[in-house]
Amino acid sequence: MADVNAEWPGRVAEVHVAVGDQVEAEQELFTLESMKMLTPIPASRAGKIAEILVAVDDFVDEGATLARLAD
Amino acid sequence: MVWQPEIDDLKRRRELAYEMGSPERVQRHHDRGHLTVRERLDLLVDPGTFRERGVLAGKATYDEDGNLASFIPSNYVMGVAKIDGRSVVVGGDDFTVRGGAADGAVGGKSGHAERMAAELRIPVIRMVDGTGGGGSVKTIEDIGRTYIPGNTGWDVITRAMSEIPMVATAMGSIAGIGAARVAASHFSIMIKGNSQVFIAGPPVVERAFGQPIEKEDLGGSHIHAHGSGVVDNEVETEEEAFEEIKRFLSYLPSNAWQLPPVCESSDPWDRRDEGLLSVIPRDRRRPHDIRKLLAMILDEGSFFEIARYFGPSLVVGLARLGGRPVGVLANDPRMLGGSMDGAASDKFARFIDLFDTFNLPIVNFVDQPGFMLGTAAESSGVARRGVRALAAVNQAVVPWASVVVRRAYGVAGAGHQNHARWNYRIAWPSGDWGSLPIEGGVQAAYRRDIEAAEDPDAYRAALEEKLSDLRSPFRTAEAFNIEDIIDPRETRPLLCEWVELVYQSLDTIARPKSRGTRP
Repeated sequence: MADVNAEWPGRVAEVHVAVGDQVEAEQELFTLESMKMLTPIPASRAGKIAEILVAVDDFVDEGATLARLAD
Repeated sequence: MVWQPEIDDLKRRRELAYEMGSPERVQRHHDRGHLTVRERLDLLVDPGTFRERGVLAGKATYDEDGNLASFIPSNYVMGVAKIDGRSVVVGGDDFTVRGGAADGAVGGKSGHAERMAAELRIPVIRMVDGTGGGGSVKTIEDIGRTYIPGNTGWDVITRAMSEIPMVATAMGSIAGIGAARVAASHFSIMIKGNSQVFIAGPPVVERAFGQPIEKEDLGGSHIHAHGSGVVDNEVETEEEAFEEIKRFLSYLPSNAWQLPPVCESSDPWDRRDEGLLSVIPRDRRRPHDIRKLLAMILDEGSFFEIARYFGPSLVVGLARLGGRPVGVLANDPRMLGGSMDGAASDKFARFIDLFDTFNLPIVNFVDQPGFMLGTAAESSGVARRGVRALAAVNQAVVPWASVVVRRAYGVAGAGHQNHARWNYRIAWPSGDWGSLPIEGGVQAAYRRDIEAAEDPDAYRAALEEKLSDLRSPFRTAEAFNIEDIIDPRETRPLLCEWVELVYQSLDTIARPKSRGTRP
């Protein structure tokens, strides 16, 4: 398992994946609106989305876990 | 043949030195995935150019007749050599002798190498391994007393940082003064998974906190080439580290009194990349890919990025325009919206100092929303770290060009150049600037009016729309507040012409600057 974390605070603007999706490394999983910019949150590695912990419009802090990736 | 016995002795002593610790220790070092210091030197420098200094230094024992019985060489190997035909000083710890610790050093050879480079005014490359000449309690036993620590040679290191390029690589697990040497450099490298840097290693840390810890968890490149910023780049192999060292030095003069080396560029200076017309999205909230943007403007393949993962909202590197080296600064809107947090501020200041020290004209690609906001940023001291960066901008004397590709907001946005100097500045039609952005700024400036309105939201929206009509960058250009707005495709030809122009009198600032470079 690997966590997908927000590296900075922001509002979850878009969720591009669903639980069970197979994703590639560097694929954009979420879009975080931060400093008025829509910034991509990519997958750190390939894997299957095991869990999504946020929804659109949630505010997340720096370091917050957005999703969990299974092998 | 009067001196033949001594010549034979000399030959034998050299051969013993080339054996390093012992064949078994060399084998163990290889088995851990490391090259020996002599193999490293061979791979780094131009073949046949290494001229060793101090090969005879070491610890010898003699038999009853006074003949040499055994010899263990000093664990620091150094000398002068050439890299791409240019002279350098190179040195490295020999881990196979006492793990690179000071008690195996003999005569302060690492400090000697730095002093030699400073006097010769040529770059110095330190390949640090083991404790990197650091202290060992074995010294206490050897000299029969303890001692006040002195950071021998730190005067040389401090001065050299302002005069000659200093490069360091962490080649193994390094602690103490070795770690300090790596940090005291203009460019540093770690080998992913096979080098660690720490103030003190796991045994000392365990003694201090009572918790065992693995060396990679304590000081791996995932820490130092990322969040801590202690080391600039991480590479997969030692060979890659040597390539990066050569690449880094190729942009720099040999010292602060000289100009960066100019080469022929095969990339036409007047190349106009059509992609530049579409690289910035119309939607202000959509980021662009700054590395793609830079590739469209700089000499093809010339951008050498440094410290990519530390303060990633600021991209920094060396590049060429028409074959002439420049220092590049660029905001990355995909990271923190491009804003300046504490780490990006530290990075900004450090690399402006580097470019200024080595007479590299600076090109700043500006898309700056301002300092990072919020509790975490405030707590990290972004205000002080940010104004230190602004001080670096104002202290720099190298020629400076700013290309405002999009936003320039607030105090950090204002810091894209020193406004008290003449700088070359151009903006793209996507230019968007101000003290405060209209969104948010309206709420702050017209709060009473908005709250008193019958429909506050509608009133705020109307105010924002009215101000947005005044947002066109052409209105700023009418007032000569931005010197020029250009077709983005013209950026490369204009910058190449500017670089050619400023190189004509660059020699007039080529000397150590009044303010040195601090590590």
